[in-house]
Amino acid sequence: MGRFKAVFTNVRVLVLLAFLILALVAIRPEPWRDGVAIRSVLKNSTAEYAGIQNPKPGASLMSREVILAINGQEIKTVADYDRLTAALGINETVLLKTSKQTYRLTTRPKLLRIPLNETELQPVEKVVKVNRTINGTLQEIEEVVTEMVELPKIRTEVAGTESLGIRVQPAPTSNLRKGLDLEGGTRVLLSPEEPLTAESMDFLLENMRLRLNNYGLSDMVLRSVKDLEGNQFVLVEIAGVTEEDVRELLAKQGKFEAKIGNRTVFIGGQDITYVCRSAECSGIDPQAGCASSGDGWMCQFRFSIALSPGAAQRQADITQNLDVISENGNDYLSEKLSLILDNQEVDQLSIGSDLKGRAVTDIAISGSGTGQTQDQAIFDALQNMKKLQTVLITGSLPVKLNVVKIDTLSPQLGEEFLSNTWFVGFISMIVVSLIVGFRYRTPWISVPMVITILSEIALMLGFAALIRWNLDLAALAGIVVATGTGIDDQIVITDEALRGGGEKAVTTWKEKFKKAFFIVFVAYAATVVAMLPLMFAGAGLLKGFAFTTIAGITFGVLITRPAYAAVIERLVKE
Amino acid sequence: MLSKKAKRREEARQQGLRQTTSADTAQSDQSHVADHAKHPSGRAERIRTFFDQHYKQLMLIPTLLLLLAIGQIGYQISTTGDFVAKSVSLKGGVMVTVLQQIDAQTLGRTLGAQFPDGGVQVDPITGGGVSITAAFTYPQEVEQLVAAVREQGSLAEGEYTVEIVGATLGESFFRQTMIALLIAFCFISIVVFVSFRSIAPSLFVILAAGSDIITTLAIFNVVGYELTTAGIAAFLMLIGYSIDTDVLLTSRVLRRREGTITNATIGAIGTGLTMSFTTIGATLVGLLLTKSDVLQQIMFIICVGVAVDMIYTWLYNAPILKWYLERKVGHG
Repeated sequence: MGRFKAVFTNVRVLVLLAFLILALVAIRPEPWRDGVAIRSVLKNSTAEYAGIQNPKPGASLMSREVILAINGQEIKTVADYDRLTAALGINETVLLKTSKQTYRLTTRPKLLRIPLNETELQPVEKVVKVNRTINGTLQEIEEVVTEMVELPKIRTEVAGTESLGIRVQPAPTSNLRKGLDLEGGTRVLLSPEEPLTAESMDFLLENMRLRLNNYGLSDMVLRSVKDLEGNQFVLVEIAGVTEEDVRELLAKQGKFEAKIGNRTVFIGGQDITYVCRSAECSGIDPQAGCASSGDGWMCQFRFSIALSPGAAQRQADITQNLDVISENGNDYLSEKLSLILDNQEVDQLSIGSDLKGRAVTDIAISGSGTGQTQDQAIFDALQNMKKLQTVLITGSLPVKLNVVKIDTLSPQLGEEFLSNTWFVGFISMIVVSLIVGFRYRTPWISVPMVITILSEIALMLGFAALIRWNLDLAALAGIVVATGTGIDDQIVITDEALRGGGEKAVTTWKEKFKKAFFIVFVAYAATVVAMLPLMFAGAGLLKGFAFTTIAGITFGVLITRPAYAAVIERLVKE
Repeated sequence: MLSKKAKRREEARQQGLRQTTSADTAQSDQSHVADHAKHPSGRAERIRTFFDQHYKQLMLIPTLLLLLAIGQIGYQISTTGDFVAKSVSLKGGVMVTVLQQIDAQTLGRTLGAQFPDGGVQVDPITGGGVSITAAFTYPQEVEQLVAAVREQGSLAEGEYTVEIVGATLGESFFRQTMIALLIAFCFISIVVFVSFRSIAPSLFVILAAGSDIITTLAIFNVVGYELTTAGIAAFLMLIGYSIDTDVLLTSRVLRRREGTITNATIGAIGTGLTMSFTTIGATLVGLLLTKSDVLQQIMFIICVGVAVDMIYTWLYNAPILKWYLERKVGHG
């Protein structure tokens, strides 16, 4: 009993215990936790209107809002949530109880706009120039005329209940974050074609983040990375999304500019501030509709965009001196607007005459699609519209980005890797304990050794939880390696204690510690510095490994191994 | 890695060296008698005598091994143009990982027929699954490959992992991680020199570590592994593990308390072998049981590296250190 007292009153051991408690607090393990956590909330969704907020990116995992019940029915798994929300009717009041409060939502119907095979005549207002005699003189004035135009009949159907707009995940059971290869998701590494200044890079990142947010993605890593050769990269990691989604959002990057003749009207980056994609201001043009032309059909689409005042002024200046020509009963300017993506012209737009010389910030973009049947023409038109919208939205970047690496990581594989790694770690611990037990043949040594190893691992995990580090497979490998050096050091310490005999070991150790401190520090620093290039090499993808190794060795040298030495000295004294 | 060890046995001053070597000269004359008196254990006695008499011949084994290793690497360079085979992460390409039961051979044949120029390779994963690699990176071709794999394995989305690396990026990764390896080697060499303040013993340590890396690389090649970025990181860690045992040996011998070089060497074996065996034990478990190719390669390199290190530490570093110290004593 005297031995135990000596052990637990030793300073180094107490320091270790203190850090272990801190680690436990940082990790907050709760493996019994049920429920689903809110991962993100879609914009303009029922949930958002009810006041449910997106989780803050910096917050700890365990503090995320957890959905506990819907209309009084308990929710334990993601399957429960899906089942209960699927059963909701339209205009139903839903009481959503979470760990923070209870929200009141009203479900909305999901509307489908289906263009039918038939067309119908619809009255449409147009502005035309006519000659009229007013007060005896012939003048050209603008008049509002009502015309009957053929438009595809659109049937608005109610197709069930609109989703609440909450993306969920199983409630986290600890504060440890899983890296992408353990959780599943998509990782994209993009390389800008031209070097960007820090300011441009910031703007680029902001832009991309905004665009991804608009698609309802907020739980992601988006940052700029530099490697050893000075190359710049943009790293995007989004959990739980498919590769196709991400490719569509990011891979079609473009260096975008719009020119009239040789002069640039607007460039990607600052000039286009908004592109409409919703039904109110985009779709088949109600003023032009569809028409049969020759042996096929042609349909017009239109959508609005917003320009910055500077760009609007530029456009006004350039178009001031253009002529007005008439085409298909519409008035346009004599020159077209060329849309240039990646130095290649992708489209040309006619400029409405009402823009001549006017600095207008709200602009309607229109174009057409063709097809053998009216259906095909409508479909083609909407496809072209989508492409153009994407160009204007994604093309609003100052520089072209190339995808140099793209990984689609399966969540299923990630789970299997994780459970497999736990299993492997457990067996390894048993094997190491057996070897150590065989060598020293006394539990007074093997047990403290095993406890020390486990403490080192706990400290590393606690540190990772505290700084919100994503633990990927490489980081886990770093933990394994750092633990390995810990075992080696403990064997050396043990042998020293056993050889020298109790008393002698203590004094000799203390003396050597003081004398050799310089060398120790240099050795430790050299190892750390040797790991540092790995933090940056290869676009920082091995950062997890280098970082956890450095952290592990540091904790070992400063806390756990000194504590082990103290324990062994006291236990071996007897 | 050099932390506590250096703390504990670091008195490698020139003074200490001279004092004990003069004692050593006296000792070695009567080594037989003294040994019997001090260490009556039969087996330790036999090892001691063996080492004393045959230590120079022991060095033949590691020398031979090193020559074989260099030969293998030379052969590798002449037949493939590079000293190691590189995986997708270092040369570019696409890799699809599936953890469900699919027959690797049939899949390989089907994909090979569909993509004759793609360099498609299908390897089985321990515990079930396959790893499919191909050299192309264009999105359309990759999509076709993934579609073919999905069809063959009846896979739904989310049941497989796809990793694509552009060729330029892969090459740049390789260059940079190689540079990182060299920098690390240099730094650790400096630390060893500073710790021992004596050129020859430090040189032996570094040579042993270097030989260890070269031999492990040769074995890596022979087994047919392809190097990944994780593998290079593992080699980096191996330098550290390898140097651990050599520093242990060198510092125990240079500042020995017991007397003879041989005694100090044999004494260090116990500690050194325990260290090596715990590492080999843990990494062997990892190697046999893990399903992740990242972890598997790391475990393989460290496991083989530490095993080979035992040869270079005890059959090369120990004898040459003894040889050097005894010659030094003879001359000064």
